[in-house]
Amino acid sequence: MNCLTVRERLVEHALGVLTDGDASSLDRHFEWCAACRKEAGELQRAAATLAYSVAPAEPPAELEERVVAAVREAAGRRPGAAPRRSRAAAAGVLAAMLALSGLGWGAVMAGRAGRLEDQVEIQQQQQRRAVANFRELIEDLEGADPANIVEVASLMSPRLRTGGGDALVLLSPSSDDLALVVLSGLTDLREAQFPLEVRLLSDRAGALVVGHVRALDSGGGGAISKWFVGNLNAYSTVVVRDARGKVLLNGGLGVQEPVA
Amino acid sequence: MDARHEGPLLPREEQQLMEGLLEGDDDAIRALYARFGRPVFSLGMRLLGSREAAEELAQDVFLMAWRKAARFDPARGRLSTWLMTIAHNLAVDRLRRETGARRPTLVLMDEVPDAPGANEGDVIEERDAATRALASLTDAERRLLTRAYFRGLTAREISEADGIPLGTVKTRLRTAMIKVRRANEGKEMP
Repeated sequence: MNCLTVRERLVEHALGVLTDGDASSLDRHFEWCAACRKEAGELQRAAATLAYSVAPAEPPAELEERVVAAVREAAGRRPGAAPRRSRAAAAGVLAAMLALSGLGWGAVMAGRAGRLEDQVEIQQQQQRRAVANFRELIEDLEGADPANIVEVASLMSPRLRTGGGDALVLLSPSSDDLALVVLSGLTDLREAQFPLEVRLLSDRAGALVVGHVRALDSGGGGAISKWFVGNLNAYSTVVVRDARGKVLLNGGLGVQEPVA
Repeated sequence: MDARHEGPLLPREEQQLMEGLLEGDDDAIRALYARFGRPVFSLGMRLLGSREAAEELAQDVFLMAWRKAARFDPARGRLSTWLMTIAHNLAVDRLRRETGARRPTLVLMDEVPDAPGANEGDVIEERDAATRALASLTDAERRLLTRAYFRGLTAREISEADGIPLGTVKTRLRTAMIKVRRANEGKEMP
């Protein structure tokens, strides 16, 4: 998606009336295009003004206590009973991600595409499909907490070489959090570059290692997952490095969220 | 944390507030609610039409703010924008899910004389900008923005419902949003 197409949709994006897929495409564009991101931010500020234009209504006095209790409980969560069921359900998520890694077409085609815009467009298509698949799966999981949030990232090579991946982080208020990362199309790595290290990064919390990938299949694909007792919602970036510390892939985690 | 003073928060204070929220700090949650609880509840009341739905929305919004607190960046926008965008998205999502539900008649602030106001600085500033924005719009523009922003109709849906070319709807939406944006330029930036 190029800047011209994005600009045509900025107003609808700010008003929140794009489909999830279209909004995700624009959000991906904003990650690398500062000019469109700035324009989108200004329009979003204007749109938020409309939210303040409704006639005021007085909330019940007890609502504050309910809000405080809900947030406090979520922040100090982690009862012991829920993880087992969520973990069993998440086996399905892992299976779906492995299936996605087998597709690998997005990264491969992006690597072959000549123009930067084509590469980005293909990656965005991949992201859209991944988002739709992941969300659908999580929503359909039996016993899943409806308050779960799924964040996804499309991982790209900073140098736009062949290879890519997808990451999913499941933030659950009632059980452990989960990080899943699927790699694909990394066919040109040498043996000395293994093991690959997958990390989550946060401005405030630093780095968290998800795990190491010691080998890839013939299509340059692999997957890794890890449960975390702690809270993953501080982490915003996924990075895959080789054994020498060179960044192979990275991507920003996100749900459809305000540009602000 | 001293975020209960009147007047808009400084970016540094917004950042501290969100850090406190992330940790589940009682004072931070209450400070955030004190500033934005009423506008969030008001949005829920006017869009969803019942106190019960508005209360649920308010809980969902502050929970979502907690989940996303680490992503908030005061350098990229104000907390008042960020939080109300979350509230709007959640409310419109709910409207779309409940397709058969009856919609309340939308009441805007300039249609209610002596409406109760909030004392918090961020909200006063936002409401001033909203007043300017509403005053700048023609009736047709106001109706159009209402259907898109508060009812969640896409430009295509409006085009099909009204029998107007899609391009015309988009142009009119853009024109209306430019006016709202101008009304916003009077707001103090962080």
